[in-house]
Amino acid sequence: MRVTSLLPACVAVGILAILAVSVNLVSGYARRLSLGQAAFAGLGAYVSASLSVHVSLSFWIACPLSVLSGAIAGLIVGLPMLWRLPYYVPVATLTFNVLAPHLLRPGRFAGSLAGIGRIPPPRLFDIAFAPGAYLALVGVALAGCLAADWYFRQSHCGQRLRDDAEAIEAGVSAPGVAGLVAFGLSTAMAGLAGSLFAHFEAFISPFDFNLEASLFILALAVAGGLGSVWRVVLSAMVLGGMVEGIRALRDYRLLLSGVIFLLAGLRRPWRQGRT
Amino acid sequence: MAQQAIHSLSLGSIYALLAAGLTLLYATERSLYLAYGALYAMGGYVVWWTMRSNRSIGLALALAVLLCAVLGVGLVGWWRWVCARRPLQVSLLHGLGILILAEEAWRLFIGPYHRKVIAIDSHQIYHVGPLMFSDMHWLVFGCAFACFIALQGFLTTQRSGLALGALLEGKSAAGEEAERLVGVRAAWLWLLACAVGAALAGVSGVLAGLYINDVHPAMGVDMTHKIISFALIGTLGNLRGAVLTAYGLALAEGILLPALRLPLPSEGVLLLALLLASLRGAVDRTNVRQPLKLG
Repeated sequence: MRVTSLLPACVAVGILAILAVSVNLVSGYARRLSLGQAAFAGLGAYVSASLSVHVSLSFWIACPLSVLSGAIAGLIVGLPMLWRLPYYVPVATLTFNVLAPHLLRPGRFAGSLAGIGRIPPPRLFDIAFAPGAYLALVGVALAGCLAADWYFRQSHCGQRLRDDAEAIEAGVSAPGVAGLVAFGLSTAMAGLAGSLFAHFEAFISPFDFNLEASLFILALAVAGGLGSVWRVVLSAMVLGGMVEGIRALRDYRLLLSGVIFLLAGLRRPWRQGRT
Repeated sequence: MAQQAIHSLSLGSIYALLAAGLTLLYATERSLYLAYGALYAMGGYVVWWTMRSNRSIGLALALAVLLCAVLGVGLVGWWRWVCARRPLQVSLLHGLGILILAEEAWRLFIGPYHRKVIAIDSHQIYHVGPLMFSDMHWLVFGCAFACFIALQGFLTTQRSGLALGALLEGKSAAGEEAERLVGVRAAWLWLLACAVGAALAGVSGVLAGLYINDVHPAMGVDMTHKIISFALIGTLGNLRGAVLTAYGLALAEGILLPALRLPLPSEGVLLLALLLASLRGAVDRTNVRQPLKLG
């Protein structure tokens, strides 16, 4: 096994942690499994990359716009969360994840056939971010996501989801507006993660945001314990770090996700009251 | 256009068999079984192996029905046992785990490659006026028609079928009612629904292998979003709704999108239909999980 250089792997783990926090918002708090988080990240990545490459917009403008695009897409796709439809979110996010690479792959709406390349790194005072500085940027973004998560939990919406957790989980009650807010916030975070990914990798293709990636993100959150943000982050750091650090393990991401999901059925994957 | 409609109806028949099978499983479990795609992939590999060994399509169908029925009863039984009294989302997660591991098992034992089932130049072509039908079209139409006629006959004339029909209509106590009124035991009803539902996935897998001529480990995972969307858009537990949705999407995929020159894959239509049906609140009549009690 070959251990890849440390900094890029740390950046990748940081981005995975943001995605795990985002999936925890909808799957952990709102009790609806999101099977398409990578697709929302892909949307954010393509928006950010297209604006930077084709319109020459700065990262500092493109990145917030990608967050906004993720939030808008999430609010549209997640609108039926207002109703008592326990299967809607898993099925719609799964379908969205299959749809997104199809839309992006042929370059119909964005990019070329293969993807978008030559994505510039962020610049501050005309100096491009080096990998170390980028890691700090990802760290700040992760801290921002954790702060947003904390604020959401303290808010009326978070309180409502916590109070009705068991009824929502059983399908008796709808997540309602609180669930929709959680979903929108979750997809906004995914858009942010996508933008960070695009500007770090410099080249993105639809294959980066396929179903396998979404399932792996969900598996990271499930392994940590849905509903407990610190456990989810720790799980993303440990499992994500293993997979990102040891290149040979990347081929087994799907297998690992399958095992985690299978085991999750043997116990309750939520850790309510431990957040 | 007419030729395209024939292709769409063939694909629709494959989708419809899957939608019907998943709906039967839903009737007993009141939960969507995400691992259903694994049974479809099983059917695909059975026909690949059978044709590779120079055996008949009839044998492939019989083997797929038998193997998928046995495997389906085993897998759904395991899933039921593990996820009993667990929330819906946990049962979805567990089903997803089984689906992924099944895909990985095919990848490990058979290889990650896409397999051709039948040589393209071996197709017999029949001309009906300006239309061309291959032997595979006839096979798909014939099998789907036979399955639906048999299913309809069973659900409307047999005692077990009538009890199953009551389950499909959402009568949670249908199992007990059936046992009391017509002497059909709930356990037998469950076994029957699982076996028939799984066998339909096997038949569909065989037909897809022959018609699409592409069998690969991810075929079950790739089809899962479509199967569950059909069941949801057609209103969960509504057999006719699921079947009609499957045909409708296939026709939209083959005729509507090319005619409108929309650069959208079929998933776009599927997501839109799912969103609209969900906004109407028409996708789920029974939200609370009440699986069939087996006594």
